[in-house]
Amino acid sequence: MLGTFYRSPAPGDPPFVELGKRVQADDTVCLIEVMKLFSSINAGVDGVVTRILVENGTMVEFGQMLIVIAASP
Amino acid sequence: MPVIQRLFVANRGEIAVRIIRACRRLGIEAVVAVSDVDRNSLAAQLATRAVCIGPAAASQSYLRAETLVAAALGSGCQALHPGYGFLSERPAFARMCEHAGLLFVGPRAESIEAMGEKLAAVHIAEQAGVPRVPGSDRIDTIEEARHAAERIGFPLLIKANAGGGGRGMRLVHEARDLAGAIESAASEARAAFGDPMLYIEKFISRARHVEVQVLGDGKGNVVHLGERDCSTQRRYQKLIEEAPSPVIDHRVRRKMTDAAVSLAAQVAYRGAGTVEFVYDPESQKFYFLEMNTRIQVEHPVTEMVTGRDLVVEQIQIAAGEPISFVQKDVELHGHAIECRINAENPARNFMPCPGRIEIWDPPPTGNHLRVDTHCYAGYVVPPHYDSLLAKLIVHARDRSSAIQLMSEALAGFAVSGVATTIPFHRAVLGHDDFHDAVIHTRWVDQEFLPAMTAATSAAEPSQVQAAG
Repeated sequence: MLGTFYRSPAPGDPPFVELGKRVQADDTVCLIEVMKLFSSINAGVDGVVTRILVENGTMVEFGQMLIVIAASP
Repeated sequence: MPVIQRLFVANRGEIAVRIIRACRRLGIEAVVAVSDVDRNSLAAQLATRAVCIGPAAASQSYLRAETLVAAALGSGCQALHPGYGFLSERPAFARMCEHAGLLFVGPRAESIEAMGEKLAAVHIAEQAGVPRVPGSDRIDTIEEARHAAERIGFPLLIKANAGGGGRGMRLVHEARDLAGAIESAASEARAAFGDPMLYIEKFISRARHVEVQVLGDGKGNVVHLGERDCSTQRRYQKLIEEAPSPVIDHRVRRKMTDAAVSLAAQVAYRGAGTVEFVYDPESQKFYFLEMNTRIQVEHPVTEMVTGRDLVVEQIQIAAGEPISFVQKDVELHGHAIECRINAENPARNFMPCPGRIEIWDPPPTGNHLRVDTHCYAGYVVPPHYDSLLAKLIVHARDRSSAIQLMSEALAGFAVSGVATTIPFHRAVLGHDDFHDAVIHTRWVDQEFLPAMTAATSAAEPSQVQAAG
């Protein structure tokens, strides 16, 4: 989805995930805001965060890669 | 510093390309919204930037108001052009843009709202002294419909207050069909618009559709740019448009344009708009139909005969600038015709034909021939949107030269891979009724196509023989 990408739940809060963090499929990894409406984005897979491709607070487009997670075997 | 440095194009297809070209003329950067299947569209290639707003389905991309506004703000735009269709005539969208601090390239939300409700628009027209088709106020019961019908007479048209595109509309010839038609029109209007409110108008047979282009600065100044005649329609969809109308004289033109200007001035209209009229050539009377509060598909014919760029004017007006010319500077030169080239098969009841365009070879463009399109060889026409591929527009010193030029241009327009309406246009342009300007808005449906079908089926046996 298109919107503004946020790495943390509120300004000043620690990010949902950092590089190397282990995540579960239903963990929130970021928020996307469209006109004050925030959607939580889940990891979708169990694994380890290997790349974060987007700067906090920038606009992301539909279909854009945000975070790369190496799935656990 | 100019008010608009970057403009968001909230549309697709040929009109997105058209808006980007206007931005270039103005030295404005254009950011275009694209759905997933439009990522490589011509508009995306021409724009400074393309922003993918969602999947192919319009309901999840080009019709998502919040997403479009977020994309416009996120890409640093100061203004948004809605084009035509999609959200262009949704007052809530115009309002949302203004609240977000985006200049909406179009009228104020209240004007869109007022004109969107057909009966409200009719009342504004009456206040401005613009004649309406003899008709009723809102009809709530069958009894009211009977009273109105007695007064108005048959044949009559039942119309939906929230109407558009022929939906919720019924033609009734006799009193005994009235009740059934009212019921079915109301349920269709409820399903299509969420509003079952109806009214009744006298049906004017053999009428022409003539519309006046206006521009307003939002402060009460309004100019007109003459009229367009869009009488070549199939099922209420325009297929060929021309300017000026071949059936009105100076006297009628004067009255009609005066009416359009006073209607627009009544609401201190801002931007480009079109006041549509039903014209009865027999009585030489015209009646207000509705006002469209957006740029129209057929705006190029007006640009050809006036030499003005309507989309540039729209953007400048949105930036708070005055209209760049005054009424006495508007001169009409020659005659222009536009044919809508759709990906539809005229031999198969105009069935839409999405698919890959193999050959795309339009005639060479120049001062007298214009092609507004987003197509190219290899382009895949997606099945998710309307079927308009291109608008072929010609300009000549008079109508018969324009018809001649259009016929040659159509003959020289090679397309393969998808079926198009080019053969239909060639047949209409070659028809005596079109030349003689005796057609009316139901001519294609009632006379031209039935005759063509009869001729084709009569010709079939010999073709089979020849093929065998």
